[in-house]
Amino acid sequence: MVLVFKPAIAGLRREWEEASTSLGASSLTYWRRVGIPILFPSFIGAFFLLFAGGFSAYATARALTVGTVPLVPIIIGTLVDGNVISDQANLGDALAVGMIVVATFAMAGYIWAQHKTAKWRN
Amino acid sequence: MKKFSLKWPLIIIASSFAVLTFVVPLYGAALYSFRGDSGKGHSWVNYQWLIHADGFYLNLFTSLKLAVLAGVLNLVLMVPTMVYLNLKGQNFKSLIDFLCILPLIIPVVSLAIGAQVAMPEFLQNSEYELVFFFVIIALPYTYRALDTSLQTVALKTLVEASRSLGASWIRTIIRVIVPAIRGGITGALFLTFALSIGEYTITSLLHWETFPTWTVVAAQQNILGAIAISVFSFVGAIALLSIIALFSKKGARQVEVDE
Repeated sequence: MVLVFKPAIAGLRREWEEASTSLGASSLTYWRRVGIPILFPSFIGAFFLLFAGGFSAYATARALTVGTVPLVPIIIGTLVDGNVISDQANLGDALAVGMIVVATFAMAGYIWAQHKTAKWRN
Repeated sequence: MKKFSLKWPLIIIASSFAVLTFVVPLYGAALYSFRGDSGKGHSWVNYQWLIHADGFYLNLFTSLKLAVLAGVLNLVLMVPTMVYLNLKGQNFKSLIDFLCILPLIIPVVSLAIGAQVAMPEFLQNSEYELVFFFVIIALPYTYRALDTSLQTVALKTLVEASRSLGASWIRTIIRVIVPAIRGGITGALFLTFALSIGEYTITSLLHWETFPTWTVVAAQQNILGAIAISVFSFVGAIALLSIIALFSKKGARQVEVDE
């Protein structure tokens, strides 16, 4: 989140703030009418990245729930392990492909947001 | 007109959030890790258990070895790439940027399963295959760290000066560019190293044994010991990072003196 978001904050130009202040805007108005609308695409992009991150979390989920919550990555883990159920590694592979499909949507959203963000940068 | 400033409220909110999510749990963990036998009093007993536990040094060594290799390989791969992208390859930059963010988006579980089959066979049978996975996972962070620092130096001038004085490309990169972007390189190294040391998902799915996977197994025998392990790894990581940061700062100062 910080990695993706930092360039966006750095891209906010001082002139914009000065311009809005000289037109009589308070800093609250500046953020509401200028800052946040410009940062909005970056928010969306970061959201998609975080979604992808949360969607694929394995270690944290496993450590905290000890496998009691049926999350897709954990199911894949048990299937591929072959500890509990054998001969189901193919199902695990299929689920992994399914995760990539979902991730593709997140990726499309991220690219769209990046495109929008680039509008204010040169 | 009185200017309403958001600065202080924001700083207070952000730092109290940081304290709540990082410091309080860690403090609690540290308190528990110093509990004595059967949870009474305070002592080093859990840390002694940790040091004498089976496989502690072995797995710690494996993890450190793999992390160092991953950090080095990552820099060898990414520093020339990023220099090229910032000098001549502007057209490819967005493509590489996209490729480097893929490891964040593609679920690690899928990556582990798919890439394991794709690895050459001689690598599949050695623990060094993990190095390549670690490099892949660290790509998004390395890319950004190196890119930001490369944009702050006058890359073109530096390269032209060094080339016109007769230095080869390799020499230019090692003697001119690397010292100039030392901060970015240390950052990239940090991130790769930290990620590799703590990587659990891929390691456990591919059935290798490193420090994190050993930790999970060892934790099942002794819960206070497990807490001691996490405090130990956290403090160890922070200490390591501060040492590297200190060294890199010293180096940077030296470059200034040399000029």
